[in-house]
Amino acid sequence: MRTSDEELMMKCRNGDMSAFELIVMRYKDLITNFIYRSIGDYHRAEDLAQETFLRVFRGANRYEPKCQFKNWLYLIATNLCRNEIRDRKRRNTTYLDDLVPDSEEVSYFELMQDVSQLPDEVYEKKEQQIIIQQTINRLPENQRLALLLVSYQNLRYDEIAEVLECSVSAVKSLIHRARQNMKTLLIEIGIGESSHAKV
Amino acid sequence: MLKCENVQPQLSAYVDREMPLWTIQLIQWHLKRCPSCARETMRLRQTNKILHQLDPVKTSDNFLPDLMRRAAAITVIEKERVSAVRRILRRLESSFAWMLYSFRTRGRPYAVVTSLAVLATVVSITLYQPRLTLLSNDTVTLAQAPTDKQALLVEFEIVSINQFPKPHLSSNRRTSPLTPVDPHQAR
Ligand SMILES: [Zn+2]
Repeated sequence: MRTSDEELMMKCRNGDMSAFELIVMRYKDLITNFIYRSIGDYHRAEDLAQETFLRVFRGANRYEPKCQFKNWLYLIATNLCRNEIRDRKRRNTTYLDDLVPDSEEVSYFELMQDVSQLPDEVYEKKEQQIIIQQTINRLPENQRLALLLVSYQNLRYDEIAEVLECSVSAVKSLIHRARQNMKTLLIEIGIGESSHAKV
Repeated sequence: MLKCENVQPQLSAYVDREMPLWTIQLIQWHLKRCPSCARETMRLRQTNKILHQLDPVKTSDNFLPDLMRRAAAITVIEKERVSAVRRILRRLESSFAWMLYSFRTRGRPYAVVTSLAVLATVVSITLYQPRLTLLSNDTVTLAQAPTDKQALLVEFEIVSINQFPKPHLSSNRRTSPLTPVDPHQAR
């Protein structure tokens, strides 16, 4: 039988490192993906994912099993993402070079030259992925986080409400607005169907 | 009959199936009759599809060993800092939280058995009479231990003597070298 996250956290409270390791194994990819899609920088996303788990580890003795572990974990990650998004806005930097994880310090143009050697479909796919990520980056902070939590992390609306610390109806409207904005932005850049297209 | 302006804000939740079944059916019924809402639903679904074109990333190979090393370093620092007493308190606190969690997950019989065990422990502790001589010895050793809290207490006592000198001392304040100077008079 699979040990629940909450039980593992209770072991973690008593300093059980193997319980902590299991928790990390369960969530490391999910959390890294979530942070990566929120900030659009893979290397920074790994750093912040590590920071998320270290905060979990440090805060283990404050963890109460009455709240679902997963939501608590996403709450920590979300707060780190918010800080990063705000920092970036202040510094006004966009890290296009880090959009693809296996590239070290390559600019967008180098990246596109690099993938231009690939077969057409692969090239198009890479290009499309970069454009989609850039479109996500253009969404307002809360809309972006809510959309990512529902689309990639498969969280329910009530779970997202707990993570974003707002009401379920607020989550509902955030996600709706995020999808509508996403739809408009994608049509603007030529991905997706225009409003005059046939059903 | 549902109106478009009522249906449209619900469509994203409809796509995510985040509503009661009867609402889903009502909206389905509307979508069959309303091409504009149906088109909007299709566009929302398509946006979702596009979002799912993004490939998931994986953490690098040294992510886990790196993290575990950093966590272990935290444990060492914590162990040095946290005294034995606090460690015991923390363990008690976590077992209490664990008990509450078990009650919720395992149900009533488990709660009854555990409560009885706790009750038995409490009763036996209450019936146990500590020897007073031993206790007083302990107090002496405790008072000698320079913990932060006690240092604070001592400081507090000095301050209170400073600010509220006893009436019988105030008459020979200037002559007694033991009496501290009144800060208000000094200024
Ligand atoms: Zn309609």
